[in-house]
Amino acid sequence: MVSVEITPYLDINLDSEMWVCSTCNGDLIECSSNYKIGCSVAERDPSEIHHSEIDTDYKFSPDSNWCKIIEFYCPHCGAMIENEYLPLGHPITHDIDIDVDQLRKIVSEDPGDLRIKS
Amino acid sequence: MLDYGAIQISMREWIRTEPATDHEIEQASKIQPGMYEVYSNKLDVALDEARTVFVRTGVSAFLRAGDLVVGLHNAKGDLVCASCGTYIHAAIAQLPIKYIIDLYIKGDSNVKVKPGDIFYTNEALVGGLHNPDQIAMMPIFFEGELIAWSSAAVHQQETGAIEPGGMPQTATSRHDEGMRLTPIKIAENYEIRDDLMDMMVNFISRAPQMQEIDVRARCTATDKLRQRVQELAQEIGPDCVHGLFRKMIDAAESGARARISSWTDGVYRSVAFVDTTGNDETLLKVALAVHKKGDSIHLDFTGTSPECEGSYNTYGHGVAAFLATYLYPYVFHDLPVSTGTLTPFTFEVPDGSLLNAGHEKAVCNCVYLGRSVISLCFDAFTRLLYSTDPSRAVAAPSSHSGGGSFKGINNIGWPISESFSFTLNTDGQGARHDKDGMNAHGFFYSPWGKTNNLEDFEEHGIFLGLTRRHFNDAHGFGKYRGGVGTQNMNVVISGPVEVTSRGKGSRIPHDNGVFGGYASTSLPGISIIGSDALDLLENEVDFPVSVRELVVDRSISGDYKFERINRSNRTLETGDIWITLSSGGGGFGDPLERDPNSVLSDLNNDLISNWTARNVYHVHIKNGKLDLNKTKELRSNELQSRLHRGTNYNDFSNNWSKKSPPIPVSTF
Ligand SMILES: [Zn+2]
Repeated sequence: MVSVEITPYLDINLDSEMWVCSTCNGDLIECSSNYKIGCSVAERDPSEIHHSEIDTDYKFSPDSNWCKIIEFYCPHCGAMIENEYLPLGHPITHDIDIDVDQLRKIVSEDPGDLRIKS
Repeated sequence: MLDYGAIQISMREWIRTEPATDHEIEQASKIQPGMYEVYSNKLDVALDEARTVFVRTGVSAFLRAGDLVVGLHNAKGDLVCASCGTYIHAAIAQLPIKYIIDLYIKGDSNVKVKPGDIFYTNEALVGGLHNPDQIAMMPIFFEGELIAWSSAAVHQQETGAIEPGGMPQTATSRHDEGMRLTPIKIAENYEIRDDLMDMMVNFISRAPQMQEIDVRARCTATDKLRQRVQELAQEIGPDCVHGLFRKMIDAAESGARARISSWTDGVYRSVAFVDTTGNDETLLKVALAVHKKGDSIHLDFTGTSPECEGSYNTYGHGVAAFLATYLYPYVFHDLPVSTGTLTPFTFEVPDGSLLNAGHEKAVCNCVYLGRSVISLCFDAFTRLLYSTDPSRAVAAPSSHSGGGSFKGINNIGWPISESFSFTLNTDGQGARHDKDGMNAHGFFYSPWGKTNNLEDFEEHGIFLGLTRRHFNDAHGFGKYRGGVGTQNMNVVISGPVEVTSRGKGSRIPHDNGVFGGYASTSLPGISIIGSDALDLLENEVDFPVSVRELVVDRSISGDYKFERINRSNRTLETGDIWITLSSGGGGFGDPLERDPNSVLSDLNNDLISNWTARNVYHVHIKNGKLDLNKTKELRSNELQSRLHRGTNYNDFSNNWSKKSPPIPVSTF
């Protein structure tokens, strides 16, 4: 098994071609897809994270009518892999879109500074 | 006649390095080992000297804080090296020089470029970002041959616009922005022309002395560098100077390409949202896809909203400046500040978008839009870099803080237009892969700048500072938290004074965290009109110095106003309190993984509240003591709660896509 660390919470397993949760080693989804599709997803009200002593129109937390916090968890262990703040209804961002063929080539030829788990 | 369309196209082309001539290549090949190191270092020292002269001869807050740049350019205008200051002009200071070369050297014009000339501009279309950016440029001749240019740029607070302070929130076109000078020849035969100086001072009549002194400071800095470059040409000969410059630009490019090659190929995306045009509320989007392949990077801003009716727009060359502001302090901090470093980058910026606005548009608040671009760079590049170089992976710094400006009469009777630069220069840094972001680390447009002393600010005799301290709970939480910003509360002791504040993000934040770290929060613009603070001080009655405490406790009486963080111009009277806030940087990693001892320490240092310790970090602290067993239980419960809370992506998307914000996202 050859896995490459992509983020502190995600590896790409080049054998199974899967995104893998690095906390519990659970599979998420094929690494050609957006890893978020393999996550458990929750919508949080900004006031659940950002505390405001005042409840005026403008306050110390984002406006929950304007945006929510979308959290992406490992469906196996609950680790928070990522979150993003989006206006209501805005499409989810495909933030990491690795060239897997090139990654495989680099790993086999000269992995350089990549952190390989085997 | 000025051809605006052609200028805008040229600017985007002129960001790139001009092709090397055979003569330069030949001379570069003759540079002996050791020579390059000695003389390139000598030029860096000369630049630092010119920057020091610049800071010491000027007077306004931005300049005195060091938020400026001195650049050395080759004869074709390309930036060879620079001393910063702010990196924002490092990518674009060459543009007005290329404009002068194109019109007044290559073109058929009655304006000629001669020894002893200094050109001067603040027209954003030809190189600054917005018209507060004033730039002096001096051709450097040796034995009759043009061998180089020096440049000195710094933001001037006053522009003669429809509001004081140079960045009017109510501007809707270039005609609201005040003085906009295409390059003029401000000096001839090493002397500044009185008529042109008077013309500028006339435009900037809200702060005439500051304008004149700071113009002279810019010119002095360019001339100091001019002297040093001529001395170098005398010492090693002009041919060797051409070769040295070429080698410096090429070394910068090859260093950048080698660094980029080591990163993992792919596409890395992020989006940010802007909730104000200056005048109004809106919902604008800035989108970035970073395409990294081999030793090159393409930045695609497709999906960005159309230009807006207010002043939160930028011209097309702005994106290179914003990219440079991210790259130099973080990713390329060990590479030369040179046009060569940016050569591996190409840009796709849709015409007519916020990031490539038409020439009639107001752009005076482009730096706040730029802060979105920079946040996106942090988001996308951190995801790109982490797999091979985590030490350079950092979350976004705070970028929607509410600095601002004031205009009044100072203690010696001068009309002045000045900046609340403390707030700008004490933003929090984003969290890093192995440690928290630095608290109040500075102005991310100018990591080398320092915040002015309180005494510098108070000696104007207009305000008394009540609070300058860290601002709790505004940064992004995470395994490593963002650096904390500051709260700045000032009371007017000698009104009236006109004030304004800038910023964005009161509805939707965008200093994102990364890898599960949260963003910094939204902030209001707060003022207390008709306060009794001066009476309380006179009678030695204590009141809270924390804004969060004060807005609940109200032990200073007065009319508490909570507005958008960007507030257009208004007049304050003696006793009124004006509050400016900077948020913190984004967090890095899952907050449940934060060391409970660090959470306790944040609480003890008043950087977070009990509420945050309990609800975000799920740490149990009772009577100042940490309960690790209880914390373990709370965190385990939260992991279970997440799994109950979450649904699969498709179900989530179906539900989510039916929702909408009160204002739709602006699209083409
Ligand atoms: Zn897991």
